[in-house]
Amino acid sequence: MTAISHPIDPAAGAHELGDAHAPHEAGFLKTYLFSTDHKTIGIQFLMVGLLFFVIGGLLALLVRWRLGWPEAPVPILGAYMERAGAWSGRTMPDDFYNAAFTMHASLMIFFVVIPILVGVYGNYLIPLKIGAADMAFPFLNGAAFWLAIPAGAIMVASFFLPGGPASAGWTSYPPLSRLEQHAGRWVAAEAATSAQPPPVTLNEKLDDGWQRAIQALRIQDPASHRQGVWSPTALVVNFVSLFLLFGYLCCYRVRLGLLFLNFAVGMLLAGLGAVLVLKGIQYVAFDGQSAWFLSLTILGFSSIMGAVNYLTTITKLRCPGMTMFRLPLSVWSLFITSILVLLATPVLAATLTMNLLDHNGLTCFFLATGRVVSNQIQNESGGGYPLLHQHLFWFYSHPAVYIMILPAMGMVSDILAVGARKPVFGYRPMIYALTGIAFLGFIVWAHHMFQSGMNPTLGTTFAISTMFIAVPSAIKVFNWMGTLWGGNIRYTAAMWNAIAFVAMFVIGGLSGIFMASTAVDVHVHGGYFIVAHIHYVLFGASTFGIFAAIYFWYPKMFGRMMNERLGLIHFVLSFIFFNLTFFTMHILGIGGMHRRVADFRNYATFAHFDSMNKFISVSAFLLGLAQIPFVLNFIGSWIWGPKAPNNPWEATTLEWETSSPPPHGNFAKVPVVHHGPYEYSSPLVEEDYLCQTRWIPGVDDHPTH
Amino acid sequence: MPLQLHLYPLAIGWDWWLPPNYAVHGRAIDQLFIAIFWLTMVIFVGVEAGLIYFMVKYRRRPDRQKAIYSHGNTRLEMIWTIVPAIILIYLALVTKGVWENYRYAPNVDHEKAPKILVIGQQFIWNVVYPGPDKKLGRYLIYPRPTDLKWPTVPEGRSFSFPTVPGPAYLKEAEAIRVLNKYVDEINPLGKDFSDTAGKDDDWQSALNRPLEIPKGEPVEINIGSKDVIHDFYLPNFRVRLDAVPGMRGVIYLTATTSSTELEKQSRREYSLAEMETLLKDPKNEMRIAIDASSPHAEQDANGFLYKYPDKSKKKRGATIIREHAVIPLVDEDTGKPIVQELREIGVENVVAYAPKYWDIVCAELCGVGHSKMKGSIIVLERDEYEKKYGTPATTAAGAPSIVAVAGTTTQK
Repeated sequence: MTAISHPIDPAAGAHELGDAHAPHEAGFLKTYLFSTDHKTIGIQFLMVGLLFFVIGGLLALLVRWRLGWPEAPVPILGAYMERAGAWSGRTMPDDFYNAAFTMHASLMIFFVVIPILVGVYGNYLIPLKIGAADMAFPFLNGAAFWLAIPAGAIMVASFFLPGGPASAGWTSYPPLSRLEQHAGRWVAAEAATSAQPPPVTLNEKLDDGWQRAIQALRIQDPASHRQGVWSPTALVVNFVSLFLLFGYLCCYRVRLGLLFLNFAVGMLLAGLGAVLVLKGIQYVAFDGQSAWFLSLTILGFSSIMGAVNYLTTITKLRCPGMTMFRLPLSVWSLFITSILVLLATPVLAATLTMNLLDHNGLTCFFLATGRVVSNQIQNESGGGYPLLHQHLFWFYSHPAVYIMILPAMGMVSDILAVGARKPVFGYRPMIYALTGIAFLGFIVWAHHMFQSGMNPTLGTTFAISTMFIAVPSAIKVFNWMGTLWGGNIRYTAAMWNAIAFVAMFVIGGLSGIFMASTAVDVHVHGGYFIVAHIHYVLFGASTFGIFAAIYFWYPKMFGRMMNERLGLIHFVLSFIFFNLTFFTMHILGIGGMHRRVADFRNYATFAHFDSMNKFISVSAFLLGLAQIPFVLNFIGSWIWGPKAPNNPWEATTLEWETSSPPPHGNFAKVPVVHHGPYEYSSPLVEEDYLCQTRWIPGVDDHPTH
Repeated sequence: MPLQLHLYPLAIGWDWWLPPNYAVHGRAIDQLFIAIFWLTMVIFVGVEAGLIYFMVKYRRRPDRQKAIYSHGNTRLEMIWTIVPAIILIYLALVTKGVWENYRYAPNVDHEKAPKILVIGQQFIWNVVYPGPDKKLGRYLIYPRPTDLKWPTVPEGRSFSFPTVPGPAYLKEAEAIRVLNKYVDEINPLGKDFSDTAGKDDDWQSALNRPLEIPKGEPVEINIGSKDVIHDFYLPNFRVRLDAVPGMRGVIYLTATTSSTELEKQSRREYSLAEMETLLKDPKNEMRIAIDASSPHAEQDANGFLYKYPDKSKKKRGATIIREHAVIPLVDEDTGKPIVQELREIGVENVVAYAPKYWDIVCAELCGVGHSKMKGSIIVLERDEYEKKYGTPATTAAGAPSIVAVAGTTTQK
């Protein structure tokens, strides 16, 4: 590792960082593309995350289109798919619907929320806020980013694989995920038009549509799927991403003395590596579902590399005076999140690897003995346990829910304190609550499985631990309110979004209590109630938290101010349409409507939700349109925004002490910290903020290091 | 006699609450739901109101230079830690009682309860009744190409290769082909024919038939799956359990209302004019269940329908309304209002009622046809149930009438 020459021992005192980084002047590649600077990597993560945000959002709109107007031709995409021969008409078939919601969830969770919260802000904020020049392992940090790119590329490529992308839901429960690789080639359109709901009279025979569908299934050739046929688009995207990954490695590891020689050999090695690895990927990821497994396994490695880095950086590279209890809550939350990532992600990697092996027909970790699909016996040894996957998957994915919210909680705490001009109410309890959530987050996973057929008494155990996790969440909410109480609140776009985070998190948290109760969960499990719940937590809370963070740290990241008016328009529209979209879903959920279903109108119990679903769809489209001001603001401010001062929000933490954007090495001098992170409206100074580095004679004569 | 139409307007107005509950254990679940609903509502309103109040009261004002400098209040924080903790522990304890009553059914005589086996497969529910001996046989045991012996066959069927003792002695591909044929044509549910308990099981027409249970009596529903994980969800009975391949789920259910009672309770007459108003309101989706005994009802491959008596009137098929289809306001073929067409064939009144069955919903994603996987549950009077499923079957044993069904997504 090219560890930076920063004092590992904070007590070493002031140290000229500028000198240490002066000879670091690198070439064009190392500065702009393959940079190891945590700020550049953070911004790169942000760009990729926002790109996937757009894709994931469009997929959500497709899902809403199908639910609102199942018979209506899909605009643009419908014509394209019909021409390409993938759809039999312009209306969306069921298999595409399944793929759309699967990929919406997968992209949003793994490629938007986690990378933006952990990847972007972990990278960007940790060194700046703790007064370090860079991460502890800058090369590893860059590698984590460039490893995430092939993961994303494989996920994107899966759209172009035969049979389409994964469509077993983002949880990919086996045995379905074992089977569904050919979902895209099902004769869905035919069956959809002719299949009728079962009649009232006893009617034992299947109608013609079903029979034909069944016949079509029978003629599939079981050997055809191992071709690994990748479309040119998928190949190019993956080659480029792998070339970049190997290019990054070569850029730092090929040292032959001559610049030209380095470049040539690096290119050669990168190309060779990319081709070889691409061959391997092509073999393993022969369809959408296996690509899904492979992509997330690789992404998991990237996450672990990032988490190791964050933990080391926070424990070892804090500047003098920056004790653990002087860290801003955003850094604390990223610290605890990194622990979660480090402990949970290996379990996900194991699960996905087992699934990948199962999916390739090599093992039966999750496949029970004697399954029969379409009345065809499955020639497999069996002996596996489908619930094992769920246990392992949720052992990762429940902590992952906290990975997706804790950093937002931390950043919102920062932003609320700055906006309210007040110290965070109960700084230490906030940290203890974070720790409590992280700890309890590991022992609540099976509340996703209350109705899965596992032992009901085990359900009670997990219901109790789940109820308990509401306590630290409640502490945080009340402390945020306490922070606003008695404040002198300045409303900025960041502040509006941060307050929306609190308000929406309350709804998401309260609706969680319904699901935590095993008995009530019988009715609301796996329905629109949980869809509403997860979106209140992940959109209402996390995404508004992300917006808040972008508005708040944009000046630092890009050196330009964002337009407050556009920010306010974006916030108001998003907030309104978000609530219209997702609050309504609670009603669907109470009515019992289940999720992941393309045609809820088939069921007499839910057919009356037609108009409500249309309403939700319209709201969702408007929510999508409401993001246009944000895009304009984000791009426009970069070009035309006024230059940002060092400390536009009059905040106290270290990142505002340096220039906007900060130079390579972050600080001209190693900062020395004298105060806690939230000294707003302190009586010690005239201004209403007291910077962490500001030394006050008489008070700070003996700074604790 | 005026022709009578049976139709049920599915939702008159907006239904924003829990679907009606017809299960005994469901009452406690609903009460718990309502309790949590009000609890969370109070907290929700309180917290959001407080938030808005603080936002307004403590907004930036020119006359105030600084905010209140406070790092917190330990006593206050203790209160808002301990109070939620107590409430949540209490909630967990209440939940435990309701949950265990539902899952373990301690008040039910588990030996005596009628047993029914529900087997999920892509995208159909199979229902097996135990027959007069009230004992279910063994199911979901499928032969494997490595077996040394041929699987058992029902009486009257032959499935053997005299020269070969079992599938393991054939080439793998050949063995799989033969066994697939066996599963497909003889034994789609993987029944163990050597098991005496299952001798009189009513399994041959299990495919996609409605689940019928007696009223007022706890029923033991066993849940299994052939292929992937399904979820046996009865929204109107507060029952949900995953059907997991390789596992057997058990649910006890006591229905409070029979289907006939439901129909009777909800039966109401509408004049055609009333029906028209209902149809004009886009909120009401009317569907129709046609009485099979009605002289004008015709049956085609997809169920019952009403047709114009005089077929020459129209060229493109004379169907007016089809069972279970949404009734449109205007007939697409003729451009005439449906109500007018009904009047023309002599309909004066219609009787609307709730459907005679409730949905069985598959609530776990199970593949491409997931949203088509819909079964129905019918509640019979106790004696009716006994007569239908408790007495020796009248149908002669012989070739099973099971149509091989298939799943769907794939298999490769």
